Parts: sequence; C-alpha cells; structure tokens
Amino acid sequence: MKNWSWRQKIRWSLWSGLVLLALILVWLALVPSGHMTYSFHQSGHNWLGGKGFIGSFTPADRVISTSTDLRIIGDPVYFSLFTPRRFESAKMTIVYRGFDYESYPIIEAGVMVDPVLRNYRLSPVSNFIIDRLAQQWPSRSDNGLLLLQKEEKYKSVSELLANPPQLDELAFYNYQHSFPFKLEGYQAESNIKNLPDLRGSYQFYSYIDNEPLNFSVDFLDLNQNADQNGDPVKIYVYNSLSQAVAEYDLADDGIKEDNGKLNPSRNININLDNLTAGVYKVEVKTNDDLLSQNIKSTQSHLAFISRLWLYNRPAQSVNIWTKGSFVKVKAADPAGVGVISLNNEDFYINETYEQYLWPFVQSQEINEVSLSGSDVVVETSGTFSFSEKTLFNPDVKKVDSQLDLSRIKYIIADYTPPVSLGIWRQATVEMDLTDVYRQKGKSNFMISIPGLLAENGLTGAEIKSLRLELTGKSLIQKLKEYVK
Amino acid sequence: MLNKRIKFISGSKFHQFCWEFFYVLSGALGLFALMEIIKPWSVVNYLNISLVLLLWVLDAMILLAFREKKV
Repeated sequence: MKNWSWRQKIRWSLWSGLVLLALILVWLALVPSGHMTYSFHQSGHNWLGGKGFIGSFTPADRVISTSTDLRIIGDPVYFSLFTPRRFESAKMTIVYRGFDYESYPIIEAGVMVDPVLRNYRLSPVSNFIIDRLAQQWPSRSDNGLLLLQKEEKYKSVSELLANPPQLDELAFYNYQHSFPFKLEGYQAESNIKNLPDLRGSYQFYSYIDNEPLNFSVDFLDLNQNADQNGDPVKIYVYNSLSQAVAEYDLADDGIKEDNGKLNPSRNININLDNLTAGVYKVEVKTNDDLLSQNIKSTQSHLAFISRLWLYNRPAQSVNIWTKGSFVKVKAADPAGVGVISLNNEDFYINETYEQYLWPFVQSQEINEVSLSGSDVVVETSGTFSFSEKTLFNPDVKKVDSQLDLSRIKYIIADYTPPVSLGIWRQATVEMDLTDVYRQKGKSNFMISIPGLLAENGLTGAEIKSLRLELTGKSLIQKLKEYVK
Repeated sequence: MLNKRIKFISGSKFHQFCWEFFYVLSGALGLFALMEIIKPWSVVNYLNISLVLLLWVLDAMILLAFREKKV
C-alpha cells in the first residue's frame, strides 16, 4: 500500500466504494434480519433520486399534495408499498392531524386482501366518537378491548357477551361477535321470489328455519373490462359461526378481452338441505364485469349487506328498504343519472361517477329508497332488502359517524386512542400481512375517512409522516425451513 | 488560453481521477443493470441510475475534451 501510486490509491478507493455499495444494496434486497422500515415524509428530501418504496397517494383528485403538505380531501385514498420480499406483519405509525373531528370522526388504514372484491382489511387510526365517549362514560380496559358503558353494569367484556343487553343498545368498533339470532314468528315459504339484476360482487344474509337454503342466479359476462385473470365467480356460504358450509365456482366465459361480446349466461344454483335454523351469509365474489340476472330464491328474508349495484333496465323503478341512516349513491353510467327518492323526498344524481351522500332527513325505523335510473351503486350502513317486511340485520351496530348514540348504552372496541403531539396526533396500527394481495412486490394500502367527499373540497386530515415497520422471517429461519 | 487549460488538465491528478472514475462508473452501470435483471427494483428504489449515467457521460466528455495529444 505504501508503494502505491496516487492513481492506484484512487482506483482502490473507488472500486472498494462500489463493492461496498453493491453489498449494501444486496443486503437491503434480501433483508436477512427480517426487519425493515420504510418511511414517508411529505417534506422529506430524496437526494439519491430513487423511486422509493411508498408510492404516490391516489386518486389525485382526493389529495392535495404540495412540497410541505399532504391533505386528504376525499375518501378513500390509496398508496402502494414495494417490498423486496414478503413480510408477515407491519406496524404503521402515522402522524396526522384532523380538521373537523365532529364531521369526520373516523380515520382508518388497511391493506388489500382481496383483489377481486377490492377488499381492504381496515384497522382504526382514530375514532373521535370513542375518544369523546371514553371521557364521558365509565370505561374499562379488558384484554386489549375497551368497554364503554353509559351506566356501569358489566365488570368485563366476557360478562357482557355472556349476558348481552338488547342488541340496539350495543355497538361494536373493530370487534366482531355473533350472538344467536332468531326471527320471531318466522314462517318458511316455498314460492319463488325474483330479485332485480345486480352487477359485480354482493353479500347477503338469509334466514332459514326448517327449509333448504335456495338461491339461483344466471351470470352474464359483459366483457367490458380486460382482465388477464378473466372474470371468474366464487360463491361462499357461511353459517352464523362464520364457517364456510358450501363453495361454488364458475370460470371465465372464455372471453378475456374488453370487446363487449356476450356469451350465453351461465347458472349457479345453490340448494342446501338439512341446515340448522339461523342466519347464513352468502358471499358472491366476482368483478364488475359480471351481471347477476334472474336471481331467484324461495327465501323470504334476504338482506343485502352494505352495498348494491343495481342494474335494472331503464324506466323500471326499484324500491329498496334499509335501517341505515344515510345512502351513498353513485351512477356508474349516464343511464343512472336522474331522480332518487328517499322516503318520498326527491334527490338528483346530476353527474356520472360522482359520489352523493344523503342522510334520511325524516329518518324512520325503516327507510325507503326508490330508484328509476339504471346502473346505480347504492351503499348504506347496515343492510338492504327488496321488501319492507323482510328486512333484518343480525349484525351489531358499528360505531361510525352515522350511528345514533341516543339508544346506545354499551360499546365494545378493539381500539387504542392516538397519542397527542401538540397539533399533531400519532397513531399506531398493527397489520397482519400473511394473506395480503401482493403483485410484482407491491402491496396496496388504503387510508379511509368515511363520509369525506372530494366534491365538497374540505380537508379531512393532513398527513405529516408515515412509517411502516415490517417484520418477517429472517434469512436463517428461511434457510432452516428450506433444509427441513 | 484553451490550449493552456488543456495542457494544465491533461495528465494532472484531476485527469487521472476522471479516468479512474470513468472505469468505476462503467463498472457500476454494468453491475446495477445486472442487479436489476436479477432482482428488479433492488437498485432503482434507492438510486436514480439516470444520475449515474449522467455522471458517466459528463466524465466521458471531460476525458474527450482534455485528452492528451500524442506527439
């Protein structure tokens, strides 16, 4: 080394630097420790000009992004995370501030688990309703669960679950539990009921008692969207314990292009005998290219969960009923533009693809929605039914911005309130990544502020920073598994 | 004036550094391309390869502009 010339020393230094850089990049690509942290700072700098791991927040019309601010003005917003390998869990730490906690009390974040249904598994970032009630009502912490009681009656969550109050006095947040459900005076019927055409995925509850579970549907592939995986259909039937009791499959119709050609529709007929009485959930999983026609069932009580894409023919009105306190409506086609009647009060869908959120002004026990336009997506909190008398909802109410708190006396929440950092708040969300959808190394994440419409131009929250701490198997653990 | 500057830079330590830097940048471009083929996004997520390429071009231009004249 002493005898090296100046040029040789430079050569050695530069090549050593390159080798070191390459080794660091290999280390970062393999993540041998199984731990990695990726961060996003809106005002941060990227000196080396790399693409980074956390993608842009989209859609662009739901975010206002400047060099210093990232404001969410519409619900929901998405971002992707590129990871060089699979991880098993993530801890998302988000530093944010809300602008109107009364109007937009809930912020949730989650990761996509089902690319067909575009389902995200959401976890709470902040719930201002619970934060506020926790200061007003007696609260208990029980095995990581929060129990809020207007009047203190239960000493633990397990005591409440063993001896539940009336279901309309109870609300859950980020927590699930099924109580035995019985419809008093229910009589099984044998006549066949026809339902309107539906597009895309849907889920419904059916109540059966001493009768088969019967449901028949013809699927027509509209072939309007090109999808490499085609447009398959999967139907799952779950019992009240969320156990799958039946599964049905239908492959693509053979046309994967978006040429609009129509093959004859194909039928799936569900007929399940000898089921114990109770509530069953049917989940029809498909994409928006599939139209469900000639939907027939002998079940009198079918309650569709949260969302319906009605595909009724023009000039054919459809009436639906719900106990939800609002409807969120979107016309997916110009044919859907027009009048919608909520408890006989007319509202207007003026634009295609624009979200409209309307609360029922004269809210009743059961609210009626009447639609004359075709191709309209309707959402609510709770269930929809095509008959007023047969509407039911076996689910416990969820603590959301539309919840009527006047009747609620007990709340069970799996929720940790955010930490205050002056004007900012810091929340930590734990996520399970074992079953998330990952394509070309990218997983998709969502931040949701329910009720926030970009059309109103109001800011729901400002994101200061986001940190994702990922944990997975170490290289040694992987090698050991491989050797075994 | 320009001839004086060329004479000053040609064969200087800066010139020698440019040559070594050129070799290393060439090696780096090849190595990064290979790494991207083997494990996509392993380099570009951290580093903008266009910047490396730009440095390589600038370095090559310096070497071409101030190359030593053979007598």
